[in-house]
Amino acid sequence: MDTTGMDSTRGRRTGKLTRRQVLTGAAAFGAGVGFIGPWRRAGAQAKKPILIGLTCDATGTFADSGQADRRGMILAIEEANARGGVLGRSIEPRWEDTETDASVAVRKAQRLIERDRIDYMIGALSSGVAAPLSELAQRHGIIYFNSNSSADTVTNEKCQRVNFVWDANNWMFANALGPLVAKTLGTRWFILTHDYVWGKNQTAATRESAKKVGAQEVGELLIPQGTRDFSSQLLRIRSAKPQVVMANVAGIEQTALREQAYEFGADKDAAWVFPQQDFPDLVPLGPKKAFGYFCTTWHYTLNEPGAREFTDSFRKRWAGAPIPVPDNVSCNGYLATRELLRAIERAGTTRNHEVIKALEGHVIKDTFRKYPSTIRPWDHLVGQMIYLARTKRESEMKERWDMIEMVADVAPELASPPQSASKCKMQSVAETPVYGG
Amino acid sequence: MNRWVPLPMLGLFLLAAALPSVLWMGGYTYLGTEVMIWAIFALGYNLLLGYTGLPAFGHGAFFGMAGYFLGATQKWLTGGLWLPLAAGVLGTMLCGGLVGLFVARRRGIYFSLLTIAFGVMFWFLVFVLDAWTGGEDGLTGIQRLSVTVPGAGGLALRDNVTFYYFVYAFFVASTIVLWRIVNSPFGQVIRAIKQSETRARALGYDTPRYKWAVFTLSCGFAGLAGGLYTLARYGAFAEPMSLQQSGNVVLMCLIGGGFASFYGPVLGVVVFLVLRDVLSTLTDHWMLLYGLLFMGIILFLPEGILGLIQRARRPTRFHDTQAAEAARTGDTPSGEAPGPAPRGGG
Amino acid sequence: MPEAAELVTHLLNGLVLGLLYAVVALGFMLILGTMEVINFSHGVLFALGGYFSLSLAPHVGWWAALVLAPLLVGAIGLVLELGVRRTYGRDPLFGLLFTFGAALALEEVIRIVWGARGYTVSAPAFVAGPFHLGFLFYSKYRVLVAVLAVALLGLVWWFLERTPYGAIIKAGAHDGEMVRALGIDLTRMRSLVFGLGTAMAGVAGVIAAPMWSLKPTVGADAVMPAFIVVVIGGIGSFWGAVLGGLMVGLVSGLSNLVVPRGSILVMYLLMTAVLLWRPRGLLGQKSILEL
Repeated sequence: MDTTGMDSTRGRRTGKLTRRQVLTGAAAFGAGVGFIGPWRRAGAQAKKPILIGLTCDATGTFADSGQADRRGMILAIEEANARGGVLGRSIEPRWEDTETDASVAVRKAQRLIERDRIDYMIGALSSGVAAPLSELAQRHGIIYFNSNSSADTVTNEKCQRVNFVWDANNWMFANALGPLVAKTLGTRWFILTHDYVWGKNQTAATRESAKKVGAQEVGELLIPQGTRDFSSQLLRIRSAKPQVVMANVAGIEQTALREQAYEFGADKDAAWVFPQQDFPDLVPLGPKKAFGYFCTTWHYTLNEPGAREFTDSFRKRWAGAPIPVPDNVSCNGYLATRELLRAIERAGTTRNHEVIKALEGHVIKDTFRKYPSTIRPWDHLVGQMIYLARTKRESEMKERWDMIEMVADVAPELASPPQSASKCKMQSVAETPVYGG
Repeated sequence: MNRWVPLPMLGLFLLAAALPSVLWMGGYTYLGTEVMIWAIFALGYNLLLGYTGLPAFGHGAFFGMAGYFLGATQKWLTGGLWLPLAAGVLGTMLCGGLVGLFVARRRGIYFSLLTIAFGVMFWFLVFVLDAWTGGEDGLTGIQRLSVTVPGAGGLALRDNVTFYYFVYAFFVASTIVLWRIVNSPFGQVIRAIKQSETRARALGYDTPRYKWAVFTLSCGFAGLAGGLYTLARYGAFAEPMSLQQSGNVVLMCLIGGGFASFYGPVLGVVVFLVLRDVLSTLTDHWMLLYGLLFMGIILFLPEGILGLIQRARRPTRFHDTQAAEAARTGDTPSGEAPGPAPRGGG
Repeated sequence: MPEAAELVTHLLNGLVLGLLYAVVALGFMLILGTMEVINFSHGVLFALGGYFSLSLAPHVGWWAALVLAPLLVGAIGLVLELGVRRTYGRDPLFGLLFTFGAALALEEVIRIVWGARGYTVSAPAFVAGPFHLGFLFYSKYRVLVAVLAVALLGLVWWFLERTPYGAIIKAGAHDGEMVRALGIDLTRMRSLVFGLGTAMAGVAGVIAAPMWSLKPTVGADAVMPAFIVVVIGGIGSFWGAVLGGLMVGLVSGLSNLVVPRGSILVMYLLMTAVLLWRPRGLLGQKSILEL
């Protein structure tokens, strides 16, 4: 610390010894910032690889799912390279940890685009990350596949011409659930709303669905983020005596809620329905605490064409991974990546306008499930089927990962939101900046 | 020229102006823009930390809230660019002034504790008011509109290089203004407060008022930087407001030598941002290295890089005041040649 | 109109939470009062306590883990103190920043060792589930938490007030030089206090784990209230920490009933209100930390 008082003042005022100062400052400022650069200079080869940026979380709330997502993507890339790549070029992934944080994601995506010069971008679980990334992508014209987030906004108000959404969204889960739950579990519903954007959207969709199937809402409680203590909520539920609890709660709050519901015996008070469940979140709970019903899009135990082969290659590739079997998250990552590469082949070029046109309207037959999926041209949502599932009892499980049993399903046409309800006003292809090619 | 823009500062400005042509080759302009934005923040913050000796630890909140003021103004009130930017600065200064009322009478640990608490309070407010702020999704859809500069025509800020120079203008202006503040009578008083607040009060200065003023001023610069950052990323997010990120600006000032030199924060910003960029591409667990680095700097390099350089430059501990005086005024006290200049430069 | 059962539940929750906050805040304040160091790593040490118990309990049982985990955390605290001691006497910012860096590094260590995901921790079998008290269902485990917290607070109080070494610690906080002049090893005392304070964070982490679940950032949930409790209660006062903790906990619990989304913010409003009325905190003693 500077303790020489007056002299320090004088010292600062004079411009003496400027040379060293200038050199120090210059060296630091310039060398530091330019340092990163020359490493990344692309060579002048004719067939440079296609670079795909994978924006997956490795830390934060969605860390486990983010990594599952990535495993699916990597498998698809490796399979494509084994077949000789796409348009004669190999595919190279560039992964960045988006830390389940919108701000970090934007920064890293910017880096991927500007410094690494990626050609395409895939990823995002959190809706908070997906939206700004898709906006960023649209500004540059880079095609972005939102592999696993389920917000409604990215296919409605915040839709973008370059953005394609691969997971079913809140509306679909709520609307598939509604009729199935009303028919099989009951029409007296108690709603728990996780007090943030996703939770509130989910509850809005649940209410819409309730109206359609004639279900009665016997109560609602808001669960603020950071809630760890659910004893009062569980008490309120018990006294309201619903048949079904629609628990629109996610993340660590859901985990704590399950824990305490089980402890209180509240899991037997009613049928608990969670709108959607990513498998990586069920694993740490174990079968006892992962009670209830939920919607999902896929699981490896489905006996459908292609599922077995896909599961086998996944198991072989990711033998040591925390979750060595494919689940709904990694399946979405895999399919998204695979279809992107196929679209590039179909288009015959990496230029974004052509690839977008090759994607819109395309029907994907080999989805490893009962019905094919369609990439809808008006909102870029992948219309797909929804399963209603429940967790198996421990005695029913053949192995640790065999936690899910499909109870019923809804075909894509019924599950997906109709075009008339869409609030999406996408930029035209012509308005989108050209990228690639 | 020397009083307004000393030579080292000029060198810095020239270098920053030339940087995009270097960065283009392989680095990326965005990083340079980020460096300048954080430099504005850090220089303003160093007024508080390095010059007045007030360890505020929640300043990230001010950096972050500016973005929400800007975004809200642009999206729902006025649109445009200048008004939202002004709203960002003024809104932040207002909040800073309010918090300053609480903290101006404290110092040391108590001061830190309170600034931490208020910083985190603002962080939570962002999530509670998520109808306006977008909560953890952030406030997106902010635009970098074109600005017309009289005499220079229209500037399309969407282009990263143009935006770089837009930020550059603010960087130059802020640095010069801060230099003037530091070398003004006001600057003298706050330095006196750092040395000994009791003595400053004994001399008749109303120190809480000065402390409040410095706090609010630093929030103004934080607001400017935060607004520019929001424009850079087309969105306002809560991330910089977290407690962890608030520590970053402190580290930046410290590494560079904010206690010892006016330019310390700038150097610190460069080192920090480049390091973060490099480290995070090297390993998933870069946070560990970062934390260890933090600890190491505190233990072994508390005066920062520039402080270390300054200390190395001082040839002897013995300080000849007569010679120094002579060197300054040009007189020779007794016919001898003046001795070497004791220590110069900021 | 909330029923009586709900009101009582929330009150009880607030009480239990308040006791837990008091334990965390007390450890934090011991370090703050004795060495004038804001221990930023208090939160992550809290988390470490929980994680250690997670790994130990399957092998040695919950009670043994309750004793062992804080000891491990205290040991880490002692190691940390070796670095912190180099910042004594300097600008308090350095101590704060050092522990801040330690917090970042330790949190990453948690991620490396246990992974980034969350873990649920089960309450020990004998207190699992609710008990029935007329109209009220209340979690048995929370009662245990309250009992343990009170026991801990009592233990620390007894140590500070009724043992000679406790008197030394209190004296050392007040006037370090004098204590040294009396021939007492100040360095050793400071190490002990740091270890003790961090061990308290650790034990709070063990106790809280079944209630709060474990994730690498769970420490932040504990350390933020600790700051507020200390500001409200006043630096340097044992009862200040207890009273402050209880107030914060009760206010938080009650606001959960009325306006759940603001319950975190209410803590800060409370702090602001207290500061306006009593700038030194409720029971704070005048110290050199003030103007």
